[in-house]
Amino acid sequence: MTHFNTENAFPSLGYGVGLRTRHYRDFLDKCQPVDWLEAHTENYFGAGVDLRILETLRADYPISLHGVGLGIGSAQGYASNHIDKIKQLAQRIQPALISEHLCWGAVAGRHLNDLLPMPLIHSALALICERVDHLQNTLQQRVMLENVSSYVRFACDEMSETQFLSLLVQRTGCGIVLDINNLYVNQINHGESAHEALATLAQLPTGSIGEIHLAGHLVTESGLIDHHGCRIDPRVWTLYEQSRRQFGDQIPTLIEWDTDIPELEVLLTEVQQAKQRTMQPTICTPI
Amino acid sequence: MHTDLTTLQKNFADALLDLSRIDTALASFSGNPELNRERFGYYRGNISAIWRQTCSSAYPVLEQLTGTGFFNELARAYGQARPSNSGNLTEFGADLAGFIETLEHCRPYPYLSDVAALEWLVHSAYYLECKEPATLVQLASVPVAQLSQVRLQIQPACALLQSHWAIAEIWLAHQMEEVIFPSQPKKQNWCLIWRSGWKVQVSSISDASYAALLALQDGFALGVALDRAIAVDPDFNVQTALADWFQKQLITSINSTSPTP
Repeated sequence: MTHFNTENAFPSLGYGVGLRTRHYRDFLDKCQPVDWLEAHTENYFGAGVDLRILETLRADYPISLHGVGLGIGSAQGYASNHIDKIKQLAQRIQPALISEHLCWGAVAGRHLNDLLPMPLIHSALALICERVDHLQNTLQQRVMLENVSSYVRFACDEMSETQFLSLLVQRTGCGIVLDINNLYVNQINHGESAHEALATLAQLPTGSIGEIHLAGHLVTESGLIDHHGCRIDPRVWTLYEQSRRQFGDQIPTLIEWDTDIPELEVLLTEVQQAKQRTMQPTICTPI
Repeated sequence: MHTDLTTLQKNFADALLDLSRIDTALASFSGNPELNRERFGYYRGNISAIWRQTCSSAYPVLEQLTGTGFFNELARAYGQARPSNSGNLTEFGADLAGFIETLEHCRPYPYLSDVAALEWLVHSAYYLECKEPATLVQLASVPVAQLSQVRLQIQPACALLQSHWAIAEIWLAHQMEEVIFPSQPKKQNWCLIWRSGWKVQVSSISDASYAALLALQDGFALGVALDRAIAVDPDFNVQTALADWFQKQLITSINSTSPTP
């Protein structure tokens, strides 16, 4: 078994956007001012049109494959043939980065096709460590897991999500996709301090965070929803600036937009803002 | 001793699918139960939205035919009755045609199921491979004496479907800005689903051409395929059919050595 660690450094890619069908034509027609593209892994499992387009764009942009369907924490209903498909795609695309979510998504006999919140317990950590080891060995690549937005927490939780991810990194050598918006959503929904989360992650070996994600959320009366359907909240930008100070500006930054997807131009202005916030942080506003 | 992971996830899933079973899941969450009940509603809303959006993306004509309200209910009932079995959502909805056949309130519209079957093939063609096509010039280079023995490989993205209803006309009508429903929906249709570059196309073809393409798809030699077409229609024009198949780039290779299936 190969051991993965921070020596398998994640590449420093710059600023990217999520590749969505609506923007295929924009990217095919001309070179866009982004450094890399994130592609949802499952959208390219087929051998059809989407894969052809990704292969075409691969020539001009490094690709980060971001899985949304594996459900690495599903106690049952976990499909190992899903990993075979990721491997097949990775061999074809040669992605710069590969990531999944810290979540579950299936039970025996049924896939729920959502990023559901993990009970943050030691038995779940042991299961996911085993699965991450298997995934990294199958792909022969260091992978990352992303912190997710959650709308409920389990009474039996034995640690915070950040502690869970930190232990996962220490035990498997995998990396983290740090979604700043998700940290903020969970701060509001569950009173979990995003600052504390960043401080905990800062204890990890340098190079443990391989991507930073930014997206918009929806404010409702009963809490925040991570809908990726609007511009990034100013308080999330402030947390982003803090993460740049703590972890450095070499970590690739991604702008995600998945609901009511606007013109590419709107995403590009968010990319510009991420660059500006990295180069010239504004004065911190209270969160 | 806390509840194990399998049970926690099973209780969560049960509550997602059946609101009457929410109490067990709620009991496993920390914090304010009423707030948790509301927030759990986000997850319940998500799963219905995923079924609806995924079906809507694969079955746009069916949605127009049934109206959005009926279609959303159909997607919800389908998602409940036929569990998603993959983390790849493009596979969700594969059996909607079969599901519609079981629904009493769809009986007055017997073509709906076949329209759904056609749309699933259209949806699948988008995700299937389109190989480099073979050409008529390559076929012309085969010695005449060997022509009946050659096997023409059909594109993986190409599919065939037969129906007692005018489903190709119905589908084509819904690609236009102004939809005109066929005046005679009860009409035998032989459909060819194929890809032209990145666009999936549907053509209504003759029963003879359908028989020939089906034989080729099943791996039979060209001679057998053409015999089947002529058996259906003695006036079947071989030259016209071949020109059409190659023009649509349906053939990927011309093989004169593979064994009979």
